Order: sequence, then structure tokens, then C-alpha cells
Amino acid sequence: MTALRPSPLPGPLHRVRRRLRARWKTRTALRSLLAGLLATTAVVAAFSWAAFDSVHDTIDTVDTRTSRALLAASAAKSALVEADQLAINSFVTGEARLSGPGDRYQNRIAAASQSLAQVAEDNVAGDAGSEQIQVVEGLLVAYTGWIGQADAHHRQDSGLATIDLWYASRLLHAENSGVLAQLDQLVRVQRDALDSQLAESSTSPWRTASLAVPVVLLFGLLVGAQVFHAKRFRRVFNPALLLATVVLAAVCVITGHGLVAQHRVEGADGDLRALVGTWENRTSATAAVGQQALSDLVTGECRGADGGCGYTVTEFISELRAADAGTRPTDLELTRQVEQVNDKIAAANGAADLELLIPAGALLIAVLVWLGFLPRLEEYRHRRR
Amino acid sequence: MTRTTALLLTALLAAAGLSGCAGAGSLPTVTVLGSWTGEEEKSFEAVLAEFEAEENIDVEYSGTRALSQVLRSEVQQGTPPDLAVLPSPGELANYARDDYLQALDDVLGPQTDEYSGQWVDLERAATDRRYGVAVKADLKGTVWFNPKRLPGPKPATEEELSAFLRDIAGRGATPWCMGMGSTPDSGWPGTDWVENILLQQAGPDVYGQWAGGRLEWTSEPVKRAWLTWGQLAGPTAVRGGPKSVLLTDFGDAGRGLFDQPVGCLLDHQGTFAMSTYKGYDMPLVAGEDFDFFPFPSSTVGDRAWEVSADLAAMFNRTPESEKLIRFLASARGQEIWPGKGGAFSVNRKVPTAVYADDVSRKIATTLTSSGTFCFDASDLMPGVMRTAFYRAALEYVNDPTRLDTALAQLETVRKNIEGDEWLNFPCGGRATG
Repeated sequence: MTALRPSPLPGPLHRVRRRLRARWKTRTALRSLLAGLLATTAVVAAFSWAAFDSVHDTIDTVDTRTSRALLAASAAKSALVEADQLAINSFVTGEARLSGPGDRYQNRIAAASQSLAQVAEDNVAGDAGSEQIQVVEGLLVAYTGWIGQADAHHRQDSGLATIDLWYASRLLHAENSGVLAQLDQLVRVQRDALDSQLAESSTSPWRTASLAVPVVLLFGLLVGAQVFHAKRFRRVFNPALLLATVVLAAVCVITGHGLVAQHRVEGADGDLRALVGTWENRTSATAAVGQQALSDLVTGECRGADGGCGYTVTEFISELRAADAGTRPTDLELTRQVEQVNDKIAAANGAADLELLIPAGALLIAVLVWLGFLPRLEEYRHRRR
Repeated sequence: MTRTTALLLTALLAAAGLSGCAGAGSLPTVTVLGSWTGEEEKSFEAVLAEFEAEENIDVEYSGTRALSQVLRSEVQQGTPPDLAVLPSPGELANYARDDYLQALDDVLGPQTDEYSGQWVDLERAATDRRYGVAVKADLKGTVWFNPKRLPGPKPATEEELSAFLRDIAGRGATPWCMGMGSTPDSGWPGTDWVENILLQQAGPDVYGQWAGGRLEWTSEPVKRAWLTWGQLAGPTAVRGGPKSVLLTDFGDAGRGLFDQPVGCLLDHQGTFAMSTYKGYDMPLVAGEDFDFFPFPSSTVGDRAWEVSADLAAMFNRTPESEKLIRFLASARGQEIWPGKGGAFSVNRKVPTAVYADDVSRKIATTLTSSGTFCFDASDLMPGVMRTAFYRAALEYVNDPTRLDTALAQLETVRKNIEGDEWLNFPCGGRATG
């Protein structure tokens, strides 16, 4: 069998065809490279901006709502415990005969109500937070009602004033169901919301990779474009592409600020939790003093020594003895911790104004890339004509 | 059509198809609001889990101790849950009266073989249509004792009870365990005494008039009920005396039945006391360590029982919420919680075998019998009257000599409440009076 062999092309025609093919390849390569660079620039801009925006949105929410809601819930709890202690003290000392639970009690109740209103305004826990606030508010009405009854019964000498105080204080301190337990739950749901917020803008390996991959790709394409220009068109540097690479580096630095901000706000979160813990210590120390005074008041009325107060009071006294009151942090300590948290959040949010530089930088990269390719594209378009 | 246009159309159709598939994948949902939290919430979740598995419907249950406030707020905002389980029949009746609830007659059908006429009457919530389904119920007016310490026959009449108590006191023991504490509603255990005695002495009609605000607090039957409470469980007949009673939580009072040495011998509590006793840190067995007898009735004929119930009601009628309420009312749905303990069903088709002990079976049998059932009167009263009643009970325990003053004050509160705030809520099986 005889194989068919292609007939050789004549020499000049073959040379023209090769030259045309080379031109066609160069033009296609230029266009493909340009399209790749522009598309990757768009991806870098979108991912970087989204990440930066997410971090600073989180910081904004933590700054303007979450931290306030958390601290207000802690402050409400502390104010209520102080109010309870002041009311009990006023009955112990006999001041209640003239002034009822007292002005300072009223002030602390008002402070607690204001703090609850603040939590409601800044609530970040959605329906769970709102429902919890309603629970606390409903119980608070019942608590002040019992204190009012204690005042009325004290003035009537009916012998029920201490009982009313007992009910009021139990309502406040009851494990799992009392006002303080409900406020703890309120703090918990706000803290859970904070955790969710931080998780959404976290610097997880996946998220960091999703930022790094397009940047590395764009950098590689810019270097590739330089090499292409150098080899194909014998130019040492394409200035526009070089400048685009510098701008890309600047965009990376700005995006990096977002990652640093995330680390900073996570640090502030730790301080915020410590601050809530300090509020908790203060509340516990005040509660211990108030509950001891209540114990003395109650056992004075019901023959506590021979078990005449019943199981509930006996159990209450034994738990009181077992509890460690701890030391009461001062106002100054709290203020310093609040300032520390605020400073950290402010530092984390310091670079927020740079946000618009990311799309602006990406636009500049795109323009520079276009300018870098324009002369060669023009050249090949003219040659084609 | 160009190739590009065709490609775009294909892509759009594919996207629409994908979103349609996504919609089909998400389960339909029913929202339920209730007051159960902790262990009770877990038990109710178990009931809901069975429904979800059977119907492929997602149920979002939200339990809150401030059910009244949360529900009122959601209703006012126009976003009520699909179903709510209300522990207060008075609250359910008010929502039904204000047309917030969907009637269940055509959703559930007559269910005459499953629910006695008495319970369907109660579930009508003082209207002519059925608005509630009792998810679980309890008897009140039950007297608990420790059979190991108090063997022998129990009193069946008020006179026998008086003699029984005198005998206990004569032996140097304290008859009653009692505690009035229950934040935020301390005092209600005392109102249960008054309600039950009034029901057993004067009968369901008088009870209904009083609960509906049509009988004066200073009237003879009401005053007699208070005085009887004082005579049967006065300052010397209660463990620790009045101050101890006032300072003790109702849930702690029953510990005296099991204390060493014996603290007290009788505990006037609803049948929910079983769960309370089982929560004590000691191994107690129903029937061996605790049992009950009904508080004696002085009325002619069958005794009437005071009861409480958690009633499921429908705010939004959807195919899914209809399925859930049907499931909750069915024998299948009603036997899950009792099977786990801590609840009693009023559905007659729930077999008594699901209950773990004879005491529980006795309660379930009574709840599904043909007797007369009356809801807790204080649950039917307007809030201000209810609170005043609780406080009056505390005053009476503290100083029984102030009864006339307390009753006069309660009567003043009654008179100041507008007529339309009261409910005409007759006992189950009794015609509206």
C-alpha cells in the first residue's frame, strides 16, 4: 500500500503563512493575558473588599451594640443586687419605718431599668434576647411589688414584712428561675451572638486561602505579562504593569489591616469577657452581704436555732455558709477595664476608613494593566489591517 | 434566536430549577410557644420529635417562663406563634373571646370516643366552640401521705378528716406539711385549699359563680371555706407554725413526709406533687413511699374535682398546624409524655398501661372518668383579683384573726373589676349558669 504524502508547499507561501500564524498567536496571547489579568483583578477586589468589610462590620457591631448590651446586662444585674441589699439593710436598721426601702434602693432600681432598656436597644441576640428581656422585666415588676408589700406591712406591724422581703429576695436570687439567673441567661445569649459575629469574620485557614489564592494568581499573571512583553517585544520593563504590581502590593497591605483588625477585636473580646467576669465578682460580693443580712433578719423571726424556719430557710443558710463571697472590685477597677476594652475596639477599628482604597486600588490596577497592553494591542490591530 | 440568547435562557431555566429544588428540600414549619423549660421542655420535645418523624414537618418550640408577656407581645405585633400551650385556661378564654384563636371543632372532629364531654366543655373555654386541647392535666384536692407511716383507712368525709387530724395530733405528731412560697406567686398553695374546700362544701355551681365574680367574698359559703381551712390546718396543725409555712417553698414542704424523725404526715398538693417527690434526693417509690386520698367531699352525689391543665390553642391555621394539633389531641400523641412520667392525659384511649405505677394509673383513671371537673378558680379570675387572693391567703396563714378584714378587702377588689373582665367558665359537664 502506498502512503499518501502531503505535497510540499512552495517556499514563499509557507513563509507568509508562518508569519501570519505568529501574528495571530501573539494577538490572541495578548488578549487572553489581558482578559485574565482583568478578571483576576476583579476577583481580588471582590474577595478583599468583602473580607475587609466583614471584619469592620463585625467590629462596628461589637463596638456600638454587642459590648454595650453585654455590659448593660451585667450592670443591670449588679444594680438589682445592690438594690436588694439596700432594701434589706433599710429593714434591718429600722430606716424603713420612715423611708421604706429607701432612696438609694429606688435609685438602683431605676439604674437597673435603664440598663435593661439599653440591652433592649442594643440587643444582638434577636428573638432569644427580646424574650429574655421580657422575662426579666416581668419578674422585676413582681420583685418591686413584693418590696412594696414589705414596706406596707412594716408600717402596719403585721408581721409579714420580713416574709415579703424573703419572697422578694428569693425571686431575685432563686437558682435557675430567679431574676439574676434570667439575667445570666440574657448575658449568655448576647455572648453567643458575639461568638457568632466573630466566627463570621474569622481568619480561618480557608478564608485566608480564599484571599491569598487570587492575589498570588494576579501577581503571577503580572510577572508573566512582564516576561511575555520582555521576550516578545524586547522591552526590559513594562512601566504600567510594574506600577500595577506595586498597587497590588498596596491593596494586599490594606487587606492585611483587616486581618490584623480581626485579631485585635478577638483580643478585645477576651477583655470584654474578663470585664463581664469582674462585674460578676462585684455582684457576688454584694449579694453575699445582702443575703447574710436577710438570713439574720429571717432567723430572728422563725426560731432558726431549733429548725422552726423550715427546710427552705435551713437550706438557704447552709448554702450561704458554703458560698465564698470573694472581694468586691471597685468602681475604679471597672472603669479601667471598660477603658481598656474600648481602646482595643477603637484600635481594631482604626483602619476602617481604608475600606474604599481596595476597590479604588483594584480599579487602578485594571487601568494600569490596560495601559500596559494598549500599545502592543494597537500595534497588532494596525498590522492586521 | 442566537446561540448566546439560547445559552442565557438555558442558564436562567437551570437556575430557576435549582432554586425550585432548594425550596422543595426545606421542611414546612410549625411554631409553638409554651411555658415549659428544663426537664418539661425535654419531655414535650420528645412528643414533638415523634410528630416531626411521622409527618416530615419541622416544629420550632420556644419555651419561656414569661409566656403571658411574650405571647401578648407577639399577638400585638401581629406575629403570634402557630400554636401556643397555655397553663391558664383564663388566658385561653380571653384570647378566644377576642377572636385571636382558631376554633378546633372541624379540625379535630367530635372525638367523643377519646374525650369525655366534661373535658370538651372545659376545652371550649367559656365559649360555644372548642378552642383548646389539654396536652396534660392534673388533679387538685389530693392529700398525699406516706403509707409506711400512715397505714389504714383514710377519711371519706369532712367529719372523719377532723377526727383523723385530732387523732394524729393526739399522738403528738404534726398533721400537715405546708409551704406557701412559690416565687413570683407565693400564696397560691393557700388559694388551692380555699378553692378545693369551697368546691367540696358548696358544689360546682356555687364554685362557678364565685370564680366568675358573681358571688361575694364575704358570703357564707366563701367565708366557711376559709374558716374550714383554718380549723383543719391552723397554726398548731402545721409543721413549724405559720412563719415556717410562709417561709417554706411549696415544693420543699412535702419533704416532711419522708424525714427522719417524721416531720409531718399529710401534704395537700395537686398530682404534680409526684414529680416533686421524685425530684428529692432520695429513692422514693410511688405506692410504697407516697400515695394520696381525695380531700373529702360534703356534697351530695359524685364529688367534683378541681383540675389544672396545659391547653394547646391555635393562632394560625395552616395545614401543618392542623396536623400538629390533631397529633397532640390523638391518643398516639397523648401517650408519649405520660409514658416518660410526669404527665397525665385526659384522652380516654391512652391505655393506663403506659403509666409506670398504680398511683399514676389511679390519677389517669380519675381524670378520664365521668366526674365533674372544675378548673382552678384563681386561674380564671382577672389578674388583679388573683394576686389579691394570693396575698390574702398569706395574710390568713400569718394571722387567722384578720379573716374578716381580708375578705372585705377582697370584696372591694371584686367590686372594682368591670363585669366583662370576668369569665363565665362553668365546670366541665355543668351548664352555663
